[in-house]
Amino acid sequence: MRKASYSVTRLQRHGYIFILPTLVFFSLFLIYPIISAFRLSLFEWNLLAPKEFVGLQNFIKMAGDSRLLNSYLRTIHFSAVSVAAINLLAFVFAVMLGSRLLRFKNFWQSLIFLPVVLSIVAVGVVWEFMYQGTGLIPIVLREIIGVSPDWLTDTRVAPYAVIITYVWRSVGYYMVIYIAGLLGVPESYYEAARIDGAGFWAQLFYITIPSLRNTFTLAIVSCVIFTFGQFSIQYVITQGGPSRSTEVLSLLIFREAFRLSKFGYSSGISVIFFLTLLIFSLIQLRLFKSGAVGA
Amino acid sequence: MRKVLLLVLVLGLLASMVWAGGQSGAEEMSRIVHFHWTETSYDKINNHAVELFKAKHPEVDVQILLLPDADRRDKIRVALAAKGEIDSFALSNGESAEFLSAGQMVPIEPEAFGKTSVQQVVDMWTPGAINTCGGVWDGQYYGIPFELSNYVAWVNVEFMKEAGLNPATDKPETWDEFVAVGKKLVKEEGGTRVRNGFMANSKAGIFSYLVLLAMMTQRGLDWGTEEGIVASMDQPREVARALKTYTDFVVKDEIWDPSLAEDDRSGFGTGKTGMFLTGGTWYWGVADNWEMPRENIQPFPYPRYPDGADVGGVGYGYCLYVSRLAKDPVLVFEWLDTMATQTNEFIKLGYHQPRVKNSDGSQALDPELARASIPYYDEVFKGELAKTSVWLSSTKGAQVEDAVWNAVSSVIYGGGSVDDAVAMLQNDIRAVYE
Repeated sequence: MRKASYSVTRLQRHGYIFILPTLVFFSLFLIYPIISAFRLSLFEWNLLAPKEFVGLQNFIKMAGDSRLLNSYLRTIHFSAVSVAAINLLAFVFAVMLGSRLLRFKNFWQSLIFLPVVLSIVAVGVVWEFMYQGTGLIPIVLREIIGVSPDWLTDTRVAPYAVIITYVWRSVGYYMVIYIAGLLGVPESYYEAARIDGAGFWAQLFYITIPSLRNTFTLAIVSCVIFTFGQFSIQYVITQGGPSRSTEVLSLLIFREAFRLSKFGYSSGISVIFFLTLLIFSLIQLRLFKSGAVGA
Repeated sequence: MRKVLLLVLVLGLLASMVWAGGQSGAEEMSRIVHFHWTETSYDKINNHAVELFKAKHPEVDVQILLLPDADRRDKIRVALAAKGEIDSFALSNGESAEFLSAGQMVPIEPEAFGKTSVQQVVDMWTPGAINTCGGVWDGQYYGIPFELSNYVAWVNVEFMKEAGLNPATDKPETWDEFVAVGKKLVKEEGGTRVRNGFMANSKAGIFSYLVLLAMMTQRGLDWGTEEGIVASMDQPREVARALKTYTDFVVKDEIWDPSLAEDDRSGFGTGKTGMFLTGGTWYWGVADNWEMPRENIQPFPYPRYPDGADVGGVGYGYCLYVSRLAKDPVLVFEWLDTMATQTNEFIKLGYHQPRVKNSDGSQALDPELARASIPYYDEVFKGELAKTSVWLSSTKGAQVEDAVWNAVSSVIYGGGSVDDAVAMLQNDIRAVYE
């Protein structure tokens, strides 16, 4: 008995040793920078001159900063539309690829997933060319419907140009998550439903969607987190323009720090950004713990 | 026995660490790391400078970090903040104030140039060149010039002929004429615009800022100093006039459709615009990257306002600096001196360095070679260089540039009015310097 207890303790100690490298890595490259950002948000600093302590001045300034408010709203708009479109399309594709009627499933699945493995910068550059006045998209649209919007220079259209590109690149990843979820739904449910005379829509709404509640939550929550922090697509295609219409929070953080040399203020925005995502993650945890989601 | 072996092992390990530490220290002492921007044709010349320097100092290893120009300033900033290995670097006159005010550079050491006074060093460049290139702070000299240039206007003369214009007599001299010519150079095919009359970079605000800076200076406003730009906000009518001239290119005159292409320099080289305003002598070298023959393009002086000042495009330059982190500032200045001795190699590419004499007393820039290498050197560039508008030297220059681009964007992209844009600019500029 004593020997067993001793072994467990030793095993636990070994466990700590095993996780130590990861713990050190995360502490150095994740936890320390987060704490530093909090600390830095109380200073004014351009990386060159000594730091100047300004207390909560950066946060007070943020309250009246229309550019920050604009970026916050742009980020919410970008995230809401993108997450809805990505998950809807990913789910539809997953259901279609699960259908017995569809042929060449592997081909279609690979085709939809392919953009996920492409470099996001390459994707941005190619789409930027396609959106330009003499690019593929305006030419095709003019051929078909006679007109095309100014995709990258109209403040009302540019946010959707970025969203379309982002959705195109991301939908394959979430499609795989939904396919994995669909594989977990027992075939017997559908057999029983068919015997009872249920059609496609009835099976979809009464079996497939309820069975995928956990998958939906996982996909939507992770999609919101990734999308909220999206930077590369906007940076490559529009650099936040035209007239700040695609300047999302992560891009604003970058510009405030590296273009305008306001590292303290930029850290303050990062703190707000972090808190927003933290609140969302806590809501997610609460949903899981309360059992409101899934079985 | 095991304890003795362990002791030997530990001692051996310690000894090797001490030796390795000494070695790395020795290596650090003999290495110079220089941060520079990359441009394929210039890189070869700069790398040749390393060979020239190593011929004099074989014990010194020089490493040039060639960075994309858009990232260069940030990489230098981070390397300095992290106290990394950075002995020297290049900054433009629009960038240097922030670094100089924070004491990040070392003043010029005459000894490195074989001179006894700073003035003797300064005299090796054309009068005022170090000032224009941003290498002076609080009356002290820090940088040595590596480029002195100025923006002029460029036009595709083949497109002019195609539009029934005579390149010899019809080049625009005023902004109104610029618009008139621009309208004739616009080309559409099947309802789709395939060529602009004029274009600037549609994403990077710095270029619009620099063109507008020249227009503001022509309107009599001082946008070259912090006090001047703040004071100019009390003259909203003049600010509005220049801003309207520029934004009308898009919204009223429609000689510039920003959706056609992003970059004006490549746009001009590939025939997507008939004119642009942000090229210096170096553009001859850059233009060779595209298929456009040199004889198809010509530079001409910036257009003026009939009732405005006789001022041309912005004058700018780059200086080379020694970092305060340099282990041996005299040696590093000697390296920079070597780097800046290839004036005649650069001028063959159209890249102008304002060096008159080398440290050994020999002639630096050969004026005849400059004339032969830079078409229209005397007719356009030289005269305009004497009339340049001054780029703002300010620790908050980037914020000013951002505010100006915001005002321009609100009109050309956001559909706002010029008056609202001026009001926005007034608020932003006053907030920057409050």
